[in-house]
Amino acid sequence: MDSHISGTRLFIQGLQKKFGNRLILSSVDLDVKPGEFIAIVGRSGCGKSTLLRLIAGLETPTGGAIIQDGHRISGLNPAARVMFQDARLLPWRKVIDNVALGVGGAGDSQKESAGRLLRQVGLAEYAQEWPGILSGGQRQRAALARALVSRPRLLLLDEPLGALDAFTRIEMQQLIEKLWQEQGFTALLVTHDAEEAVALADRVVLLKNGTVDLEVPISLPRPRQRSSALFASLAGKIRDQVMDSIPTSQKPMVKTMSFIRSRNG
Amino acid sequence: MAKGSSLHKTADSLISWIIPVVLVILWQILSTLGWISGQTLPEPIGVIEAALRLSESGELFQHIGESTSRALVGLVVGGGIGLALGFLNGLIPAAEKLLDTTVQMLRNIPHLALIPLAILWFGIGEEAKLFLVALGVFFPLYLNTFHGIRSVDPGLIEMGKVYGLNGWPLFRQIILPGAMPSILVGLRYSLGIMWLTLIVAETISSDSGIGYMAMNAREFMQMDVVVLSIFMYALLGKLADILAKLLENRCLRWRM
Repeated sequence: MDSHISGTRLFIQGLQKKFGNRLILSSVDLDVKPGEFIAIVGRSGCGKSTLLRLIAGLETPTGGAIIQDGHRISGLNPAARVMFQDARLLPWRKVIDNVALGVGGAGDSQKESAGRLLRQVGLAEYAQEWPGILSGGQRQRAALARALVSRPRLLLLDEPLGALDAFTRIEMQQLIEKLWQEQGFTALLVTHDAEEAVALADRVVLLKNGTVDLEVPISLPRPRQRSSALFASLAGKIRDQVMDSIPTSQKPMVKTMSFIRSRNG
Repeated sequence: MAKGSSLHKTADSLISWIIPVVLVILWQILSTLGWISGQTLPEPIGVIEAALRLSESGELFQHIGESTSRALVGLVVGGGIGLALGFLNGLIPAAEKLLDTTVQMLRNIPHLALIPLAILWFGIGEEAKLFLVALGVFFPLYLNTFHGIRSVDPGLIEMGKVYGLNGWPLFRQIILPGAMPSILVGLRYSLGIMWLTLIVAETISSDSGIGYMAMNAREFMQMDVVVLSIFMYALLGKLADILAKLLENRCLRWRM
């Protein structure tokens, strides 16, 4: 049942997005290997969510291209599933029917897959409840089940854990990692949490001024020990880099970029 | 536990009937004592007797039937148009631009002000009353449907699109259920206006129905029948409200 699917390969070339006269992304280049887990960090307003929405096909680029497995994305990306910051469950559908929406229906086979995913995210006993009674973390777990029930080849995560408390967040990160390892999809996670990026990603990408400013490969063995010194120092470096990417006039400290580059690359 | 809570429920629903029952008993006592003259109000027993008398002759049910069918046909016609137009304007911005201003202008005319016009156009037959009821129930349903569709969480619609829903499935699975609470509020308003309009229309011009029964009784000074008619309206109004509430409970189970 747990057949490994191959994640999508993404080539992003010179991607540009303008809203009116505002340039959100000036030129983004990124190469994502199949099954890779990428974390995208950056200050709020740097365009990281826009990048994700472009890959999902929810927005159209004003320049450049996203090539997925050799095909240019236009319109909604059928290979992709998105997890949003809010769970976006339909309040008028039972939890299991919300998950079944991911496989497009309420037939028996759909319900069966939905039930299996609910067990995997630990919500089996809530299958017949209304989403209204779930806690924030449980709602995101249901949303994760809905996103993964169709075995997508690309999972886009738009700060899905931002609104959760610290303990629930770590639990969710472990769950996402586990399912990613089982299913083998390509994952792009937008986050403002450097530790989350280091905990999950194979590579952390820093967006700044509408372009990729820095890429940091994370080669720590999984499952990653948050308490390790290397983990903490990597997270600290990334946090500094994000802080550093505010406009020049407000820079609080000297660049540490060269240090990270020499260390990892 | 279950037994206790169902007992509790029965007691709960009985509480709301205490005041009406006490009022009727008080009314009967005051009438018997002669404190309320028969010229002002007939005694409750007289009203019940009138109800029995008119039921036996079948007259009462005939009038109730006439009024109810008028009310329902008016509701279906006016409410149906309101619902359809609400969907149209809620879903298609171009339609809203074209139609909404006109509808808002018409909305500000009290529909009962059109009674003289309706009589001139349609006479005192069924059409005039249907027209007025339909016009009355149209606006609450239109406004609330429109508002309901516009206030569906755009995040849910976007989510639906990511999951490949569009067109009819998107409407049926996300937009319609999202707008449903507001549509049902519109329906309850419409039911109130439906009876109100019908009472006025039947009282002014009619040859059948509860309003006609009341006006006819007034001519013959049958106080008991006049009061009975008023009671019938109250009962029918309450009945409509109960039905609307049942519908709400059924459609909005997820909100309990």
